[in-house]
Amino acid sequence: MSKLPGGALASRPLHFIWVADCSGSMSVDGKIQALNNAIREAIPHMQQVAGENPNAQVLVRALAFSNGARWHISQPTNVADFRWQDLKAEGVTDLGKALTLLADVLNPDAMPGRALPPVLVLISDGQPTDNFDAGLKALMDSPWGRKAVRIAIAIGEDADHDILQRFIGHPEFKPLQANNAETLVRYIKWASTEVLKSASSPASQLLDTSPGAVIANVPLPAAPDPATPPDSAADVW
Amino acid sequence: MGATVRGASHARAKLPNQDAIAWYAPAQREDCLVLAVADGHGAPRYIRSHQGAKLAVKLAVEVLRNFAADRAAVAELATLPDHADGQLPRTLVRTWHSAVRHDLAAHPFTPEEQAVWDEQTRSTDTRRADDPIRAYGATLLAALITPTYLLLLQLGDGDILIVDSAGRVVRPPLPTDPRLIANQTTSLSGSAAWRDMRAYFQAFDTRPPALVMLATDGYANSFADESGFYAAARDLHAAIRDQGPHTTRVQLPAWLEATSQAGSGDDITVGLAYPVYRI
Repeated sequence: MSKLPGGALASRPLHFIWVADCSGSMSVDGKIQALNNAIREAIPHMQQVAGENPNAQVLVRALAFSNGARWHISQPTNVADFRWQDLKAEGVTDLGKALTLLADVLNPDAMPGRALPPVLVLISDGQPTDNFDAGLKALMDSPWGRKAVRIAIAIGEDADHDILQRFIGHPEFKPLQANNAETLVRYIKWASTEVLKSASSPASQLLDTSPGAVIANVPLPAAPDPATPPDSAADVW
Repeated sequence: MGATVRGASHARAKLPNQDAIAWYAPAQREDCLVLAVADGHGAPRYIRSHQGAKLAVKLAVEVLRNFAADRAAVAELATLPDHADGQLPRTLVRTWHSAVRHDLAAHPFTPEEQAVWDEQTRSTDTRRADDPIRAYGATLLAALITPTYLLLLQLGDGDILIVDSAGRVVRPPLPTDPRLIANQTTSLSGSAAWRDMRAYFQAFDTRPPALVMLATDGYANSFADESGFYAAARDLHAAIRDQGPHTTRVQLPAWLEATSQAGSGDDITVGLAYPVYRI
């Protein structure tokens, strides 16, 4: 036999999805621009990490929510070809709709069983203005949504930690609090590299069906400390 | 025959091959064939999963050989499918748990293992995660093939394919388990694990299938789609038929290594059961 047994081989897809709050408050004190900068800055690092693991195909896209929710970058894009397009802030905080939209793509029809657990990174500075419970239920009812690695970054002191904690769904993992642009950069880079690295290594584990059992689907690396501001005025958010 | 290879990503991470395979080949035509593969869980807290996988396949071969020799059990199997769904899985799981407890008693965690175990179990929320038996967690796929029947057992992820003499490939009608995605799997180490074991029994009207393939999930996950994976079973059957078992056996490890390299990166184990008198 000159060729290997079987059909075409392929690395396992890993879907990485930014879920970004684009409500009007994100335009205050340059938060939306800081987020755009942080993600743009993280992409080369993300590409490097992805390049180190040829057995995972990292596919990136982005979802934005404000008045409703929409795919900002709808096509799952190979990370090597991924380019960030700036978000603009305007409107309210329809996080529930965003989670419902996410749930639509996190089903086995849209994502084959051989995929690695997707990574969802939610960034928000406020409180949901729509039906968050319905959106969260839709997400957690979707097979891949329930198994996803869910990270949440709170921007500024008005972010609703309880809501972000419920999105994370794991008592030991807390929302990351970013009060300045430098800290946001650190957290975005951590999610794009360290979390991505963990999620892209196939490490199976026991499915614990006991009541109340919660296990992180992917072992999460320790999050970085917030940036130390030179003075208290650096905590601008 | 079969082979097990360390996955490309395991090699990069300097992890051992956590899969295992064992079989009992029939000495004569009337004898049974038993084949088992296991996949030790790869997450860091499963510090002895490679040993758990080795115990799983060794014990599965023993238990299934004994089962095949027990005429009363086999007669019951043909008429009472519950036997395959209940008693045998209980025996397999109980035997594995007992062997793991013995191994732990004889070889307690080393200080290094204990440190990893403490750290890993501290960072989980499962109230029963501190049972060290879980450090050995593994899946199990097993086939018992006699001249008159086929019995398949599956606990956890992995794949079983059957090829007929015309090269048609099918999955046996084991119940599907939609929970087995995203690297999470049911396990021998789970509480009441026997309940998660899926079984399929088939009495042969004419003759056994041309090939039964058991594979850990690293194999199917290496192919772009299901048809590519089915083609692998078909190609392996053709290789045994056309090139002979010896040549196939010699080439199999290199094929699997190359497949892991360009595919999932996971450990891959493939067991192939075929009737010698038909090849």
